[in-house]
Amino acid sequence: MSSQSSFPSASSVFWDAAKSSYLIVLTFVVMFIGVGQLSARAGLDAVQTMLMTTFTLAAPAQAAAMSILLSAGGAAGGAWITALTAVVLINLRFVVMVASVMARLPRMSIPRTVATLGLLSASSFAVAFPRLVNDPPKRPALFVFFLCFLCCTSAVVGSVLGHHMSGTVSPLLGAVLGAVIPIYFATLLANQWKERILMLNAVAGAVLVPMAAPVLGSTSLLVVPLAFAALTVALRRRPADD
Amino acid sequence: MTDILVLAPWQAWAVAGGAGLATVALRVAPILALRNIGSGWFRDILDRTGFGIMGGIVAQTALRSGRAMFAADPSLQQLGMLWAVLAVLLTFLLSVRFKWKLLATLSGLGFLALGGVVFGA
Repeated sequence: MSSQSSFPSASSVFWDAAKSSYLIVLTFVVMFIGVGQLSARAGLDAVQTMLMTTFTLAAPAQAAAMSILLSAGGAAGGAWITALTAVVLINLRFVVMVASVMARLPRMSIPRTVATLGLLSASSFAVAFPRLVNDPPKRPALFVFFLCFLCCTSAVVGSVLGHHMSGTVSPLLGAVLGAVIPIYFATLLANQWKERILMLNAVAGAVLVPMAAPVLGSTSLLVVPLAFAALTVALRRRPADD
Repeated sequence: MTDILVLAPWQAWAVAGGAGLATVALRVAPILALRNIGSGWFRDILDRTGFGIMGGIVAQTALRSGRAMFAADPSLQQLGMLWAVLAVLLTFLLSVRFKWKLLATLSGLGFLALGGVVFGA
């Protein structure tokens, strides 16, 4: 076996990541145009919008923060603290996402792991995680790094574009573009069709998270799947323990 | 844009930088805390949680997109949400049955857009 086939070059890993993420990359540009427009209305300049998008990389969290600033009247009170708190609460899900992806990567030094996963978003997670479970690339850490980089770049481009645009996308076009994410993710889930226990958890998440959201808010996306997963693992372990 | 707010400069930087730093800290926390995940029950929980989160993201974003499709007409928003869920199910079934990815995605999007055009007319 040649060394090239056992250890692919960085460029081939990059193209693999690009091939896996192009739909998300295109969608991110459009989705973050809306975030950029909200940021401009809330009073952030283009550099601040770019900074926030680069490291936050979560459209729901950023949109929530900007909506809080807009509805509270900006500098009128401590709205900025509320906005920051909202971002932290909504992004708590990243703790579990990073842990899940990290568990599928080879053990690396802390700086390398941070470089690989420091810009993970919900979408890059949803592309990377099933791939790591189902058909792991030969250089998984580099694959995940490129995936996160591509998603981050497209989000930044979209938010800066949005910051400079005053027009809005039509509701139908916006909805169809926004639906690329769940519809494309459904095809990623379909890859795992034969893994019944993983599918059970995915279906439970799809049904229970929206049901729990009115009560638990944004943390439902973290709490409900974690609780259901712990329950199914505990139920599986019990007969063996007996 | 009619309602541009004026944040104090330090507040704007606090929101932009603080949100970014806080989110990076949330990502770094498990990297520092969970160095030896291994392959036992803990990784099983993380794997299953990962798929649960994916299911949750799919459902929540589908419902949001369906509602957004009829943002101007609240009476149609329930139908839009149902239609978006059907579009996701159709995509999933096509992908399972034919192993399609892009074609299944385009079919699902087409189905969704069709609903938007027909019900919005």
